[in-house]
Amino acid sequence: MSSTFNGLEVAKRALFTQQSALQTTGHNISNANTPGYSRQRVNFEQTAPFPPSSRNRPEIPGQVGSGVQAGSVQRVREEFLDVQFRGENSKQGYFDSLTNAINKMEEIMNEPTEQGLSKTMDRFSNALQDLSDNPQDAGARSVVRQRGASVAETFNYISNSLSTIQKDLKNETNVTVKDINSTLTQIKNLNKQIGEIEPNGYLPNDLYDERDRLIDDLSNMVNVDVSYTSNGGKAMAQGQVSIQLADETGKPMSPQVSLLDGENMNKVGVTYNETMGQTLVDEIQVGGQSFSFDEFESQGKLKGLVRSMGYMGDKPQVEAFSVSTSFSKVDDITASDLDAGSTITIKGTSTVDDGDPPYEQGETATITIEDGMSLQDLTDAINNETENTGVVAEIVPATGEPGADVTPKRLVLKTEHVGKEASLSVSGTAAKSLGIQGETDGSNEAKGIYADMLQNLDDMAFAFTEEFNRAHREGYNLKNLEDNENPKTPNFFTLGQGSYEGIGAANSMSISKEIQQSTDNIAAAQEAEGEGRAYIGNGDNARDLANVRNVSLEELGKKTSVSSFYESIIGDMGVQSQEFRRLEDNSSTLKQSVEERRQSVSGVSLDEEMSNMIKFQHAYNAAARNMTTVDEMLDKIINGMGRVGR
Amino acid sequence: MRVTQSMLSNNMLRNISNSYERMGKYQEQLSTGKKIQKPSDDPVVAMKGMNYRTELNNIEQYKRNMNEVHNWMDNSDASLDKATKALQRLRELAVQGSNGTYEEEQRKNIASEVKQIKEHLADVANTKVNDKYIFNGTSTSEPPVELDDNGEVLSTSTNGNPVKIEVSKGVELPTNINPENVFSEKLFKDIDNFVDRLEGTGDGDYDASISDLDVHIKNVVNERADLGARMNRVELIEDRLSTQEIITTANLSDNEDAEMEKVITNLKTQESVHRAALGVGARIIQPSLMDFLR
Repeated sequence: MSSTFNGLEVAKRALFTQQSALQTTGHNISNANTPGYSRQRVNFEQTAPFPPSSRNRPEIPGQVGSGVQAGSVQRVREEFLDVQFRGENSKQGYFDSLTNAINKMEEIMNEPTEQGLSKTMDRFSNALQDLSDNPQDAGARSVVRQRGASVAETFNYISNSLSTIQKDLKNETNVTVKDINSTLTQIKNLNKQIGEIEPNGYLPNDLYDERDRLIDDLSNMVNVDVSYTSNGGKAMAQGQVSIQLADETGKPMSPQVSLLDGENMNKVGVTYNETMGQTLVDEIQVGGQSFSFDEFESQGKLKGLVRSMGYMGDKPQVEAFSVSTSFSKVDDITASDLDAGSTITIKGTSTVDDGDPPYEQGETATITIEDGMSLQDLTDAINNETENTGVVAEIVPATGEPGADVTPKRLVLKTEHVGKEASLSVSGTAAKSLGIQGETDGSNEAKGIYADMLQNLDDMAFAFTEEFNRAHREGYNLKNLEDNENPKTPNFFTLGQGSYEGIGAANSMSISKEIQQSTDNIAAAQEAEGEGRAYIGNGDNARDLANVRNVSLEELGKKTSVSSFYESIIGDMGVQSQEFRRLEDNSSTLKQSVEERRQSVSGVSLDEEMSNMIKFQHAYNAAARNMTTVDEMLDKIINGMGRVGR
Repeated sequence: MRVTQSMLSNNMLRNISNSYERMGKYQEQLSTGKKIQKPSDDPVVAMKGMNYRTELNNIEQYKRNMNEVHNWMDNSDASLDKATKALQRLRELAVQGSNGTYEEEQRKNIASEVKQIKEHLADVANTKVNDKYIFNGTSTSEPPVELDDNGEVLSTSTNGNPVKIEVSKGVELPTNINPENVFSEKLFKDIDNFVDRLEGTGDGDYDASISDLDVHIKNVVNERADLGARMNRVELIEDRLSTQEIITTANLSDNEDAEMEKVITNLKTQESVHRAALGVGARIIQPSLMDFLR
């Protein structure tokens, strides 16, 4: 037999259960706009019926239901959609950062317009044409000087602006790394909390939501693969999350790289290398492992930023080098710049063919400057001093000075080993007067959007400067119309002191000090045939100079002139930018549609909650009525029974 | 599929934002008059645009150079015209001088006129345009003919170098005439001999003077004919430059200018779509079950 008060118990259970459902409905409505919230549902369960089957069961009809209880409160969520969403989110993060970076670049390059580099070079050509029409005219010369200066300044401006953005991108990279690490730390803490709650048989839904939201944020920065390990507790409990880096296809990278495993997390870091006038990403580190850009297969904002600012590839490209000041007295350097008896101490990195690693640090060598030493003697001394310094000395003509085949010259010290491991240190009293004190590093090839553009501009500025100066030196200026022996025609443009083989050319280009001093130094004339002198009315050289930008140059690739080279880099930039934008649009659209499906499953629908509310309210009211009924029954029994015959 | 309010409102917001983006694009096209604002809008158009601009810039420069060419040629021609007139007057005087009935006094008068004409010829040879001597080859800062105080010629130009100006890609025209063909040393020597004959210190062979002067007149005429031929060529090149300028400008415009009627139509269409989107949004977002529950 069931108990007298059974009805009360059943009604009470119903009241409690409907009440908890109403509470959950309220929770859903409250969180309708909370980011990352998934709606919750109370799973109603029937309580055990009476009587249970056993040996001493009462012989009563069937099993009588004993009411309801709230079995569990569960989030309505589709794990599979999360996986899809995170994959698209990481692609979107990757292409979004690339698109932003290249858009800024397009704004700086400012082509095709009336103010860009192309137009500035057009104007410079025009001024040279005008000078070739009026070689006598001092005004035309001044205009050439001004327009030449503005070509150099435009190169400087573009190069500096790009470098500034490159530095901003570096900061953004650092912020992203911080962001990744702080997100990981938060997920780790949630793991800990969840691990404490689950074994007690609860489902910490709101912690799950928060954790999923954080993993979504993380997936925007790096592509991740997520897996779970159980803590015990309910079967529906998610357990602790482990996060690994995933490649483009969403599979874990191999060998596996773990960001978070239960409560052990590996920090992400990025190391930089200052080289070739740029700051480039050297390696991306996770825990104790280092990855180059190509090895780091996990797409996302981080990889996008690294690709935007520029990174070091695997191919060694530049040795560690240092360039001295210019020597005007090459035959006796002690007469001008150096004191006899002063010393120079050098040490570099040399290549060892069959060693491991394939390079080794050279020995330290000290050379003493002797009285009456020529620059060639010093070079020989450095090269012969000891075979094992790992340093090679060379004499190069200084640009921006009269005549490439005469003085002044500069001394270049470079390491035998090429690549980012190469280092060169120069010290000593002579080194100070040589202007080459300090430590420099070599570099691997630089790649990436900004690094490429900066290098292209350098190449272009270098090729243009070299060719323009060569053509300029062939001409006659107003000071040497009568004979070309004394003085020689100077260069028109000059590159900065430390510039070597085009590195840093765009940034340091300017007009030479001779041209700065006097426009008479501009060589507009060419030699009159067979006379060994030039006349003032000849403007042939100015005309040749105007056409320098259209001359094919070896440095820029076969049959490529400065003009067409510039056009092609702008075209490439446009095509690349278009491509990034398209991919960003695509991944963003896909991400949106997955988010839509996710919302469809997990989003709170107010209409649904309202109808549920009514449903539960009615059930609650009915249960209360049921209780009243049982109450009246009991009242009948207790107060109305046994009054027969009164 | 289960649809919730937030899905609808997110969708609406996204669509409205896309609609704004499109309107922004059309607005920018209208206000700049250009199809593209940056290379990535259409890299091909951008690269072609850079090319056409450079080409147009060159054409404009060649037209500027043309003005300088005209300057040289027109002034050379005018000066040669003066020189021809002067030489013809000399020839007339030579014919007069050879007339046997002339007195010594009259011949002296002729001689003084001839001296004046000689100085006039020297002045013509020293014509300056824009501060440049146009009859001294490339040596434009020096006078080609130097006279002393007595009107004796000290030196004449020996600089026969052409002054070349570029008038279209790779075409460089000599703009000056060779001074040695016109204002040669021999010209002034022959005039001096003529003066000697008139003053009675020469050999009296006036026929020689006449034939000398004929040779010089022929030289000047030849040089002018050559200059005239070059001027004709300049006119042809000018015509071609004008045509090129029109074509290149048209190309530049075709390539990158926005078609206004098309853009305005697009903008109008987009505006009505935008209004519709806003209207529908307002209707969808408002009512929910709440509005119908008492």
